[in-house]
Amino acid sequence: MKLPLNIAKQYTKLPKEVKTTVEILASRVGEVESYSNISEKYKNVVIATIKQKSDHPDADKLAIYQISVDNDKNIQVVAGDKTLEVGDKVAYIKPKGIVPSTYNTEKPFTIDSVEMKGVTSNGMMCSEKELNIGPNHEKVLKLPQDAPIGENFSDYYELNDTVVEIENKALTNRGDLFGIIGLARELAGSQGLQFTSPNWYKETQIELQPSETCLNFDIDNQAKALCPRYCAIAMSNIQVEDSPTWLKSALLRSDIKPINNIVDITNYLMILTGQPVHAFDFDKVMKHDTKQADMGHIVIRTAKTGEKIHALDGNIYELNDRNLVIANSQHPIAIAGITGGIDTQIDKNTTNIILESANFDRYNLRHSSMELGIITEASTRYTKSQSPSMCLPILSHAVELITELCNGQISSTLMDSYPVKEEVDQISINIDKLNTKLGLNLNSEELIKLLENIEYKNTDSKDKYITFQIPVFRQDIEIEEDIYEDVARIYGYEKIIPVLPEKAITATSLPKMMTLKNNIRNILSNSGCNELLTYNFVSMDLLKKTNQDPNICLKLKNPLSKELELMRPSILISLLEKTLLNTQEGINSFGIFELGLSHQKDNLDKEELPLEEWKLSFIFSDNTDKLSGSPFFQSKRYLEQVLHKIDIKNLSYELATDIDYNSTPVWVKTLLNSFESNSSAVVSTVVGKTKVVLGIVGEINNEVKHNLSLNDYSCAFEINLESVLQVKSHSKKYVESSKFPYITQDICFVTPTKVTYAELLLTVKKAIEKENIQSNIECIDIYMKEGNDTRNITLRISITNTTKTLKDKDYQKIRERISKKIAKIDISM
Amino acid sequence: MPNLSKLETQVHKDLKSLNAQELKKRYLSKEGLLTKEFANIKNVPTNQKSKFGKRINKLKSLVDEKLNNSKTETKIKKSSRIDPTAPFDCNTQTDKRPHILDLQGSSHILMQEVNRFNEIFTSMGFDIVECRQVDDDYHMFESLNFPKGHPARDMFDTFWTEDGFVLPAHTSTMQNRILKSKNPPIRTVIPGRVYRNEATDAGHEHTLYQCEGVYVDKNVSVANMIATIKEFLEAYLESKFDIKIQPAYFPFTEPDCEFAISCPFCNKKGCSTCGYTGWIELMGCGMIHPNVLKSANIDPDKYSGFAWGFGVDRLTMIKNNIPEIRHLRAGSIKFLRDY
Repeated sequence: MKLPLNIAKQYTKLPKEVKTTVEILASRVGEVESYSNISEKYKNVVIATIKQKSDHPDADKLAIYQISVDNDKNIQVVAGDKTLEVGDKVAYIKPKGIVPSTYNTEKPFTIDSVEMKGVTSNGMMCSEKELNIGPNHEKVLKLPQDAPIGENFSDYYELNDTVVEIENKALTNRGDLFGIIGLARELAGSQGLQFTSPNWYKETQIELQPSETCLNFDIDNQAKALCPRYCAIAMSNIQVEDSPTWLKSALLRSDIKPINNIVDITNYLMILTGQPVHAFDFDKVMKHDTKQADMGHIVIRTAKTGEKIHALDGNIYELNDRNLVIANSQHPIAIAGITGGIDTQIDKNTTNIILESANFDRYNLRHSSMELGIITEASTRYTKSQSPSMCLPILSHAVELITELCNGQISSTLMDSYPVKEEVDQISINIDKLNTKLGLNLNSEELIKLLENIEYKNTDSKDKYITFQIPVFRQDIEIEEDIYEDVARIYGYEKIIPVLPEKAITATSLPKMMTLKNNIRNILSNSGCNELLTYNFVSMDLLKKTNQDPNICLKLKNPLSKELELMRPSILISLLEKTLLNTQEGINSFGIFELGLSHQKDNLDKEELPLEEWKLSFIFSDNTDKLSGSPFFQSKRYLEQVLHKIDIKNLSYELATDIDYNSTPVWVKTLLNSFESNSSAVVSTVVGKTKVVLGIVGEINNEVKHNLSLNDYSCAFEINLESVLQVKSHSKKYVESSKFPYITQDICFVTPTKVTYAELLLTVKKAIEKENIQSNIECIDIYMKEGNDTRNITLRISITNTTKTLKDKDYQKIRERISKKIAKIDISM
Repeated sequence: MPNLSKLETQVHKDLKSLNAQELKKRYLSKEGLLTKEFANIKNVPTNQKSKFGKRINKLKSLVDEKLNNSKTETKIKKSSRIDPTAPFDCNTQTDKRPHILDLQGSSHILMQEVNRFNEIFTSMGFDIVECRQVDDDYHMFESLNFPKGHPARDMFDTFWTEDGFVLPAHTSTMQNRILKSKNPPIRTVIPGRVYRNEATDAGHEHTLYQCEGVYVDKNVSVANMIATIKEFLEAYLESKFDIKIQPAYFPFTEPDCEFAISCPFCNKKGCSTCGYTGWIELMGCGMIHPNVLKSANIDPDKYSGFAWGFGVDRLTMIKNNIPEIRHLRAGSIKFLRDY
């Protein structure tokens, strides 16, 4: 919303310094986006008169003018417009001046003295467009004869004014502040001044009765729920012409293009009050109404599906039955509150008009505006809510101005469809509650003065209850608290002294999940890995490349782009994409991880919302030759780095190709396709007797590697942190370590391939297990000769006794026990 | 015209017998037979050039096809079966076994900041609850006093899923749940990921991190709100500053305001961080609207409360001098290692 301060000054006193006014607006009304004096644009533009005119010797299309800005010296200017005559007044840019229409744009155009076909031109005479005040750019703008020579153009055009732009969002619920009068009221109140609205704003000042000629029309409000009020009146004898300078200037300062006196008056009232006013050409309304041409008809109704309107922006819009329109008896002539139609617009030949000042349901209007993609000054103001009570006074002021400026005459009775009259609200304030909630200490006189300054009316006071009548132009005041806000704003937030709340001491701690995530973050970042945050959005293409099924994904109805249309069903997918990126950036060996949420369409929780379980996803990628063998083991190494450090040690691994598909959790199943089935495993642990699946670990599927051009050595895991929390125990067992020396031997076990390393280890451990015996077992080597079906697994077994020094013969006995046990599973030493 | 038929016969034979590498070497390497013939084109008489070119190109495409096929064939080959219970693979040399990288890793800069917030807020007696990432209309809008079709919904450029779920545009989506979860006093901070359907640039992202706070008790005031937020910011930014409260509009608070602080980097003189204004707008805040309390079954006549919400990305960028918001989620290790 743009606020020209000189216009505001017509309604209230303002501080001397512009900066102070801006500060008041920012601290009392809403965020100020910017402010500047428009005259800066016109710094080197002055009014000149033409003294001589001659033809250009070498160019038919150019004329040479001698102009003067002081009636003394002549300045030579060459122009393409040959229609100017001696004595004409023009706006002239001196050399070094910037063309106003290019001011503050990317390419400001500076005027110089230039040779034009051999004749020097010192500066330029401006067109409307170059002055940024109208559309014409072919002709130099001729100013009225009374324009004073030498005066700066902005002074003459009343553009020497500071315009403050206030962020619209801050005023979302304040339709009244989309008018200059509303903002002036707030400025007055904030300075402690009494504001009084102009008389015409408070009530109709004239009798709305036809004088002589009668333009016959009626209105038919068929959509009362969507149109709470519709006021209209006809005027005749109109002379459409350019508006006077003061009116054009007022619009220009509000960034609205002057069009002609009728349209300008309607727009002027809108920028003053926030209430849009529209004018239809009466004769065109009739002409297009071929059915009943005896009198005019204005029908307020919803559109018929498929009905079309040629709007003022030049586009044709197809409407549906949710769009409210203003129609004659046949066709829509306006989309209610949004835009008029070209067929009934005011032009130079217009003599009779219908003026409309109406109120429309803002929800429906907003829907139509968004659906049709039309946002206008009027629709913006209507969606912020306007007061039906204001329709009539503003219509009647429009009539006054049109009578005065366009020679118009009232020529119909007032049509006013106002089915449910708005009542004046009264709200009682408990001043104690107000003071408590705001942290203030106002007495009732102060409160009444403060609110009456912005036109509340105190109607009753009883003890701590003070009753106010709500101003009719306010649509945002429903409850006591809404008034508190007015008090806090107008009084000033800076006068509230901050006080920390008094509270009982209570211990708080982070939720377990957050603590777990922080632990994991520390473990992995201290293990050379980098934590990533990626989007929850993925593309169809990425899902296909990672062998994932797009049908299980939540799909966005309004994605930013095709690349961001699906919600990821697992974190891994996003990390796979980033793996490629980092390889391309020349990082040869890295581990990345993300702690995040993923969603699956049909996997809902008890709130009937997509289930959200925190997951840890990890990828390792290497293209050096520092690692060999299946990449599975590297991801397993990192998985155990995490799980062991958070005390989950009892892990079992089941090769992906061997798992029981039915008992596998859904989210693991969906991930299986992104992993290599022969070199990946489902990892689980046991709590009591229940197996709890933690996740999946292993080599990235070879097709996926190929699709994404990943390194051959790429592996990953994804685990469910809810399951991790479920199995995490908090008590650690203390085992006193032996004071006696260990005996260590490396033993090679010839193990058939069908027996796993885990089985071997378990068997060996069981064989060693005995009272007072402690052992450490480390795997030294696993060797398999090509073609053999046995592996040689070498374990370094260190054994000690906690009560005495272990002797070689004791170790020998243990070896024998091991030998016996492993023989049962076809292993030999 | 040089005799190509001999070469053609040889190519067809080799396609069957040679493997990809051998083929590549024989025909397409620097000294390869086809490479040589291509170089030879310039010596072919003009009238035969096109014919010669076509024949030799056909040969090249035959070789290329075979090479491409072999690529996919080898790539798509399944890895062989391993023993997942072992600590490393068979026949892996000692120095090439799985190991932990000897590097300095990093936790994400945003998470480092969130942890700092959490520490401060828990020390101030707040509980922490994480935000959902997919929610419904009721929690995101209706329970927060945004009736259906309310224009204030336009302030939040919201993503919707085809099934009618909503991607939270603010962490306030958790407010109703938290207010319902226990009796006042309620002091909770909600960090979480939120989304805005807006085009991205150096300063805008569709995915953001936000931190919300709610405080409900008897006799809670605007003065309490200002003091609480100030207390937190002073601890977080480790400096003193002036504050400025500006009016704003949010449907779920009344009164509602914008909380700004004097720029701690230039002391109000104006610098690039504060856009030469001397002030930094940090967050929206306000007294919780009575309708919001009511929808969580809290009696607004008995209790009052305040809420605030701020963007973590922006604070993080300000504090760490990060010029581009998009760096934060681009996933480049080069960037992440610097923090």
